[in-house]
Amino acid sequence: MYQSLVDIFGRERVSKEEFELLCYSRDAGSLSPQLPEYVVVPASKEEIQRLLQLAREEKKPVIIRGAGSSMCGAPIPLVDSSVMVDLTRMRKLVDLNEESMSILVEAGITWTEVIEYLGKRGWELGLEGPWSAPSATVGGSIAVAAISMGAARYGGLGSQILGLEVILPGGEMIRTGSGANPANLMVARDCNGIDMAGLFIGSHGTLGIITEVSLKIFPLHEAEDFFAFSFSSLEDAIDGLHGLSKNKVPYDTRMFVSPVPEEIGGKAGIVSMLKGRKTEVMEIGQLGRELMKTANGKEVLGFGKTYYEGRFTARAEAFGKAGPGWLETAGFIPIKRYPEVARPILDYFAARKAEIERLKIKWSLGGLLETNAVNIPMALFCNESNTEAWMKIQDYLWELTELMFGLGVSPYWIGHLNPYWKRKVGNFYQVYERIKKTLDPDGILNPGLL
Amino acid sequence: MTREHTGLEQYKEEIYHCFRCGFCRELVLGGAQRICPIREELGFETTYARGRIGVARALLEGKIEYSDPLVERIYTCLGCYNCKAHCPTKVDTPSVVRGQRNEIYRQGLRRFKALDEIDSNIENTKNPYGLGKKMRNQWAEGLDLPRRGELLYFPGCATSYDRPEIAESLVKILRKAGIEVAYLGEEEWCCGIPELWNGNLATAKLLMEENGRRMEAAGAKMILTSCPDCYNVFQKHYPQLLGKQPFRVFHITEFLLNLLNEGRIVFHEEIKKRVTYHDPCRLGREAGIFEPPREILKKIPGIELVEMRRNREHSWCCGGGGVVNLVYPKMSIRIAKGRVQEAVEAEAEMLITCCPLCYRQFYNRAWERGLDLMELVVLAATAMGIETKNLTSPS
Repeated sequence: MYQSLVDIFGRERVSKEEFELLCYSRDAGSLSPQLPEYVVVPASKEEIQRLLQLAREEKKPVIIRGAGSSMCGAPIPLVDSSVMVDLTRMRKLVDLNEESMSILVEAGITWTEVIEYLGKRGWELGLEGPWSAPSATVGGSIAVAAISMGAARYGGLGSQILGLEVILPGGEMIRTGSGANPANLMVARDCNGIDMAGLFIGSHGTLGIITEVSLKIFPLHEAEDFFAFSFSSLEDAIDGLHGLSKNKVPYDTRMFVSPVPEEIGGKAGIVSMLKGRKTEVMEIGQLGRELMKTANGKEVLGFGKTYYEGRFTARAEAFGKAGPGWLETAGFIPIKRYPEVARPILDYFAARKAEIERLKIKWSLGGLLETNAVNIPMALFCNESNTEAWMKIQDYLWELTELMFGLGVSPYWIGHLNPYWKRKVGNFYQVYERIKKTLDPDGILNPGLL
Repeated sequence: MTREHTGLEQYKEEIYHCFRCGFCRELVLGGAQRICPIREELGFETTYARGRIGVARALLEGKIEYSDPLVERIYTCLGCYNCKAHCPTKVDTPSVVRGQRNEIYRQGLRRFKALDEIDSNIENTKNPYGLGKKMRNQWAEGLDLPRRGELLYFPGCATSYDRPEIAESLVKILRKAGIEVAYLGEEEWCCGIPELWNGNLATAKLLMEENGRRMEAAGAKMILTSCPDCYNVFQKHYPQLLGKQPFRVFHITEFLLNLLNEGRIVFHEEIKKRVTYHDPCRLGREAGIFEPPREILKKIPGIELVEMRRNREHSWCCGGGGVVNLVYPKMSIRIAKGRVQEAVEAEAEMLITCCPLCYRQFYNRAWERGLDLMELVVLAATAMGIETKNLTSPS
């Protein structure tokens, strides 16, 4: 196998060194690592096609990885003897098409690189990628359906995708939507009958390898505004959040439940970023503040801007010194049902206060608005060199995942949480498995995840 | 001795602070386009900070042992500090790498002829080139520099043997301001920086101790350096390793800027050039000196300063740091070529730096691209009408 891989990628882009495999055995989270057998770094689609042909012949598991900056375990192998595919070398900006207001990029490019490129030319993306956008790849985020900056206005990543190019197990390549017709560009997703792109969004590398992505672009915004509000009860904050959603106010909105930043104080806090045309931002800024005040919110001047400017590093700065043991579970719930889920979680932690303090475990609970729903992320942090703490946060994760999913929370990424989720969704996974069997009859792509 | 300089166990806290966010790979914010030159060359996880920390952790936890391929990988780090500069939790990967190299050296696992030669040269001649003591002193012939004095100039090996015009220019500039510097001459030893990056910590410490003893014996209270590596040795490593700091340490760019601001030296010669300044990693990201060199350049009549795409804390390494120039010369040169290309893209006519190692890295690359190359101190001397012998610039 090694020689065959070298024949495809050259010796300098194949590794079987244990020290290298170790670094590909986990993502940014703290789920149990598992070593692949080889790592390859493709530089072209042709190489990926040849790899998948080889994998099918050899019945070799293939795991796909972008930046490895997720916490869900999607790029962690669940089976032995796999080939790990590092896509970060495939990061070209293929085509900016201003006429059709789209940009075509290779899957291994980072969000911030695309954003910076567009910004210099008077354009921007709708969604700006996840918290890890400076390192997260566009393809990787789509593969795990990561919730992104701007979700309050635009919703999930799928809302911005005009088409995907995907290499299927066995090496066949397809283009979805309007791009399926070689005479057309990838400018419209819902074409040819079925939303084929939707099949691959959030599929965690189980159905194909996304190699190119066409995204919507918009004229660069003229103005920005930020606000932050403090609430004396979670219920008030939820009323405020619901008001923002109903009136389509923010570009991005986040809620803090625990911990609430000291600058905000109270029982819950909300920060929002608004952007658009000058007059529009002024108008919705005023409306947003009125809605927050109607929900008994107290404005905290200045914090909104500070928070959003440091949004990429805020989490690492806040919890990095406690960590980097980091586990997270998250999912969507109707806005008004948020307290039903949050209360038992808060009770869960309250009942373990002494243990949490002894083991120096940190945890956070918040909310991210995605148009008409709220994402409820629950994160756990500890120092991984403290084995007891590390084991304990894994116990917490599984128990809280069971609790949250039992209360109806629906995860956008599943990763290694799949066994917990699978039981809650009736025949959904049986259908998914049938699709998987059709596209990947030998089960070479990310086996074990379903 | 602080934890910065000792074995890997001492870095445990540092290693467990890596959040694995991967911002050390390619954070494209505010001018930082890509972070690690080695990762751009080699591609795998362990070629940049997140993977290097992952490896350090695996070694610490006993999951892996040093092997020849791993040793080779550990010696690919340039120590350019770009990863640390952009890390949300400020993980000091270059120090962790030095800790690994020290372990490798102590275990007898280092297998690089070029580095063995450096060790041997330093042991025999007290400089990494293996050149004679007298040659170190050649630049100062005729200058009659005192061997004792409170302000002592420490040019270092790269300047003394390779870029003597820097030292000569410096002394002549200071004399115009009425400042006399003392100089150890043949008694000066290598500052120890090559050994710190080689992994030979004991020798690095010995060199620092001996230089410190000789400087103290010469009555020095203030050490003036022109080489960023020497500056960091005396400013940072010396007190950390030896637990004392009897000297105030200056880099020439800070010193010159003060003299200019006080009107004690003046640039009166016009130099009509569009120039760009390359921040040496050791002077910029490691020592935090970004603006004084630029301020000096702006005071030279006729100079138009343009910035490269990546500058200041985002600056791209010359490819020569961390002994990578000795161990992987081809890769090192490719990185230097990339940096020279940025100067070309900035439409500069002249590339300026103030590090003898960066200068050496850029020397042929600048010439190939038709770009003038100049050391900042030499340019400053030229702007003061000072003639310098030994001028080796391709300009």
